[in-house]
Amino acid sequence: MRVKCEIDGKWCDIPDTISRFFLKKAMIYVCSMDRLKKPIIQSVIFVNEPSKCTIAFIAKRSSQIRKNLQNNPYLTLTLDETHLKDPLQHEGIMIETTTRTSTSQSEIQQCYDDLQKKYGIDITAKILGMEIITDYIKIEATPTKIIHWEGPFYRKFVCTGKKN
Amino acid sequence: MSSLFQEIKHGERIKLKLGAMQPLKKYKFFQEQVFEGFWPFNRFQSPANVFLLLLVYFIWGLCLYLIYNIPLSFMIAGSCGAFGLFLWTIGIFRYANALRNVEIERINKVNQKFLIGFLENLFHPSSIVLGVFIFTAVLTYLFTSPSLGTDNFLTQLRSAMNVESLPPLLMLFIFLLIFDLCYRLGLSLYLILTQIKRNLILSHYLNTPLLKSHFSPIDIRNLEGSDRIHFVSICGGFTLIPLGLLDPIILIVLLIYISITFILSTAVLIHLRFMYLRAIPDGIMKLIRSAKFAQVGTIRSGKIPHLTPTLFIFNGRNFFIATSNRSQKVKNLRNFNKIAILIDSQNQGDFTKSAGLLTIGHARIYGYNIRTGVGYFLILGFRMIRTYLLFQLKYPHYINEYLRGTKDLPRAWLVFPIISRTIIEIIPEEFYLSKASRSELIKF
Repeated sequence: MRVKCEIDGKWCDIPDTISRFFLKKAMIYVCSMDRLKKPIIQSVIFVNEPSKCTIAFIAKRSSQIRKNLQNNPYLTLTLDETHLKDPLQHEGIMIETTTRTSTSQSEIQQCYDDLQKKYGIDITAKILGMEIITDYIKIEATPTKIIHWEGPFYRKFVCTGKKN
Repeated sequence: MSSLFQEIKHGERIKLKLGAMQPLKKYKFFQEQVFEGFWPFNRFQSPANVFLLLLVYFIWGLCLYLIYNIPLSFMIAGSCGAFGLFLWTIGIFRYANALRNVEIERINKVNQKFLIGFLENLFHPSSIVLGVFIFTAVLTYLFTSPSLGTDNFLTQLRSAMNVESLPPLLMLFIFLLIFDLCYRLGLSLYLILTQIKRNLILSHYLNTPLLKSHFSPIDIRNLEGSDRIHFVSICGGFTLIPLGLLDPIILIVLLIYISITFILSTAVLIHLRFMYLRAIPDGIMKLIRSAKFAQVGTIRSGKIPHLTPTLFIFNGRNFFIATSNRSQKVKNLRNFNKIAILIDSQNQGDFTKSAGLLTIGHARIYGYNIRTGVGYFLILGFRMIRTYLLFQLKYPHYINEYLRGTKDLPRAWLVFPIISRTIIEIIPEEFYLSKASRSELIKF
């Protein structure tokens, strides 16, 4: 089974092995770059919309990640399945994305609702806090390149212009 | 982990805002004040003014050598003394600058009290006392000649020049050079004693649970960096040995002084290294010890973050990762050496309780091809072997799997240190605590 989604008029054909990572893992690691070009890594809860290929999460307006993305919209995400004894069974994906931040209340509310649907009301509140929705922004990350690794073997996926 | 969070937050809460207050700028050593008060030294900044002092000594010494026909051995010894003075002064001025440049407004109240106390002691006017004492002792020795059946430096010079008393200009030169040297000897000893006192106070703070959280390991590391500058400047003392060769008593005293300061300074640095480790909160240390994987972030092409999971070890000071020497990480770090490593508890049962340590620093690659790898091995071979052994100890299954699957593995994954793999050392510059998916980071 393969997932097809459209990004900026280009079609991505993502194998099931990759898309299942989004279902398996609760949190995703994100890496942004600050003003001094230092990488900043955090983990966030997220929702992904398979038809649009996008990954969305919300962050506080005052957060470091927001400041970083204002300076540089590139964000890299990683999901992985580590294996404690056998490195050859180590599997994961790294997704290079460009981001769009939104302060639209409806979009933030929609994302918050989607997070509640995915994680439940209690967990979402526990993680994101009980602040009012205006304290947040929505960050939508659109993939430009996906790298999948399984043990020592790497595969690269770049979205193409054709719908097969 | 939650108590750890409270502990660190407590440290953050009492941050002071001192506005435009710049209390560190007033701290100056006696020598710096002298330079500020005398032309032409006050026209230059350090190190140019120190170089000027060296030049003055050299020109003056050369003129005396040519006018009074001073023996060459004395000329060489004097030049070495002036050069040692130059190195020492540069080191002490750099040390003072490093401490003066601390952004005190950004430090919490407890740490600030500690630091100001240390600086008050360090730059106290009494810092000259030891130097004056050593100078008086040297003069007493030179003029009363209490040596055990041997001539001292001055009597030897008199007999070599075949004069009853030395010319006033030469005496003034010797007097000034000896005073300058004795001042440095006394000041260095004073600095080391102040550093020992500071370490004992810091150790007391770190032993007190409520106060411990106010001291960041990075602050302690910065102190260590400053102390290391002074440690290097002590090595300037070795250039005084030719001066001592003319007088066995001075040589013995000098060697005893250099040995004592060298040992004490080393002890101060080692003590600071231990305190760096103690300043890392216990919860964080547990996290570092228990975690098997870390996420490592670098920057590609100056703008695109690169993030991959990796194995890591912590040697009590820095983090190390092992990777292929052809990997994207290595390519990125060769262009821009900033790196971040996130170690988190990955609480799969309840991920809301997960907490992580984000360390940002700069990277040192131990070779990115065979040639540079061999070069690094020649310089840092012991550290590289120790790092590989630590990896072996932490990940025995991994290493066995790598070795077992040698035939099937791509070249980049083969466990051939230097040939296909390299070590990246991550030298921390900032520590942050992150909790679950909260988009806030707390610096500690």
